[in-house]
Amino acid sequence: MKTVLLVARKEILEHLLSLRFHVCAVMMAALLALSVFVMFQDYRVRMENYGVLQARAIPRAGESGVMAVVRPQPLSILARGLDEVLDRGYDISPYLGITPHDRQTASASLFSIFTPPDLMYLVKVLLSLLALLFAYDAVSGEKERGTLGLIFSWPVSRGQVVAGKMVGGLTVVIVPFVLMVGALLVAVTLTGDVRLDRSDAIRLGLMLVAAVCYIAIFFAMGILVSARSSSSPRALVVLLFLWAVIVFAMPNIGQLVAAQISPLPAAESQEALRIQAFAKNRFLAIQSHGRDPNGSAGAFNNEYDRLVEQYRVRLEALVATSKRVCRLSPAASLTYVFTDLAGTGIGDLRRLNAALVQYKTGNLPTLVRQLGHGSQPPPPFQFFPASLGDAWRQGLGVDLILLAVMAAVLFAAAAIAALRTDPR
Amino acid sequence: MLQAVDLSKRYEDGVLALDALNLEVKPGEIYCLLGANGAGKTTTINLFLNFVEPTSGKASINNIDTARNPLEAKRHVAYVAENVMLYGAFTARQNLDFFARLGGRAALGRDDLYRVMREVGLPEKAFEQRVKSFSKGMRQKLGIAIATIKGAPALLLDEPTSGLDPKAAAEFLDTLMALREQGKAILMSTHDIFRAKQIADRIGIMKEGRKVMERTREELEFENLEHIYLDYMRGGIDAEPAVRRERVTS
Repeated sequence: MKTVLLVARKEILEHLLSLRFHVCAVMMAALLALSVFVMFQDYRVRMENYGVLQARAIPRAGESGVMAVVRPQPLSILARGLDEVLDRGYDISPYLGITPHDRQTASASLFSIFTPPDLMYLVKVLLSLLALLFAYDAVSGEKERGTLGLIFSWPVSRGQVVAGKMVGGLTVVIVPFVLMVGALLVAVTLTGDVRLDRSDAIRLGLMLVAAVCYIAIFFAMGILVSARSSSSPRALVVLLFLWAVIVFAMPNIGQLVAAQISPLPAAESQEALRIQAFAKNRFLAIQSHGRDPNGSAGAFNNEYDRLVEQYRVRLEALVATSKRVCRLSPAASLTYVFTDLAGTGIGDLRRLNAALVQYKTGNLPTLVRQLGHGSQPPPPFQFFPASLGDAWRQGLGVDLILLAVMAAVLFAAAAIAALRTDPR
Repeated sequence: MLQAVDLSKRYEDGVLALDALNLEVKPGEIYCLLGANGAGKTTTINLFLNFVEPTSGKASINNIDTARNPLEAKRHVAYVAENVMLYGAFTARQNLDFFARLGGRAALGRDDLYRVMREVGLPEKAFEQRVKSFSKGMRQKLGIAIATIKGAPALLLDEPTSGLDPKAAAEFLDTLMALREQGKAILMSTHDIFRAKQIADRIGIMKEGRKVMERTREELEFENLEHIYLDYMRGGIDAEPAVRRERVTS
């Protein structure tokens, strides 16, 4: 252990004295500050939008339906995920079913062109790249410089040297990252516009754990390739290729594969079926000369709920397949963890859809009577993100464990590769 | 202290780099291995350091088999490479401190480190200078400081004076002789016949993986080492059975 810490200390000092560290630290600080600032501004605009929609969403007697509005999640600043889809208004009508409003427009319209620069994106793309930049020459560079032979002429095991390099290199990447994120979040909460409670703090902690595991995966991969490569430039080229495959190719290919295994009809065809059901039932209502308006609403809703349920089952199958396939890439696991913790994940969208259907079905008689100017409006729609326990059971735990296992396996592989390294 | 018994190494590409080498270096003795490039000198040192595994035979340091118990064996030996490369961003003292701690000598203070650097002839002003600004001679001296701070009874040097100017080489050899006086067993590979003759207690000449000649300092008083060496290199003297480099062909 002493040797591991000694090598780690040497690595940290060496990195701190290098131009590479200073350039990367400045870049990281600038991008993190930009990310939190931009996402914070976006969150404020979405909260303003939410305030306007919420005022309109108060159910009133005599109206033909109600509006359901979902509050933006504060941690969406860090992982926007599906928040743009989630936190919009939904019109709920006994005859038209659930009709989503247009998506909310992001404060930065460039989001439509570029990926939102949230923390999740920075960790997934930038920090993984930084980890590789700090690891690609960890073994091959020392070999080229001639210091590896000198170290291995001392009574230290190669596993200890690799472990020291891992600890030192990871410290250099992770400590500034955690400090910067912490400082920025404190600054954001001090504005008073974002309120983070105890649960949010735990979620944030778990996000950082996931980020650390994710960075460790790329760092271990860097050392592994470095130990097996004949030169540092060669190691860098191989690692950049692997990085592109893991971060960009695998999640997208995984989705394509999942769509082939569990196909899903287009959303527009689902909408066409809904309109068809609505038209059919209105026609029947008119034919009955308005004698049974409640029966018409009931028939439409039965048909509507059946269509929604059919679609939901197929969507669930696609999501489950997609998750299983995409999890081969740690980038996908990281995305699932961040969005599940931020309350902006695919699981939250499924829960919201289920809650909307449940609300509509539970309040159908009230909604029909309301149309007839007869009674009190239904209670307002309420939706809360999944609790940590629920999120854990729905896959958060699997993804966190997967990230930790991948990091451990790659570290073991790096240590074995170092054992076989010829230090000459 | 340092012993090779029938030590052989055939690399994966089939080259027989070392063929049944036998040698022994006693405490307080400097043994110089002479030979052309590819003669097997560096392979011998790499086998003692367990950088490569022997194909057959045994290398031992203080009676510890380097292949069976490499970490324990490395406690008893220090190493100076042809080109001592250190951590350029660190100062000489920081480099020395790192390696002292690696050898479990964390208790050494700044003054102790300075004393060791002084002993090997490193100028005072270089102690706190970054190593990347050092000349080769200064790096070699620091390499010797690192080797001595380990306190190992044996020393392996792989062509340590190669590329040094005459003054730096002479200073380096003075340090080696001082270490011999302290009872260190020193095995040094070199191309430099003149300096080998100057400091060695015994000299072995290697050719194509085999030790073809060994002489003591006393024996060499009556022989001309340069002529013997050149004769071996030209192939004029072949006292040993057929010396060869073999390639495995499929």
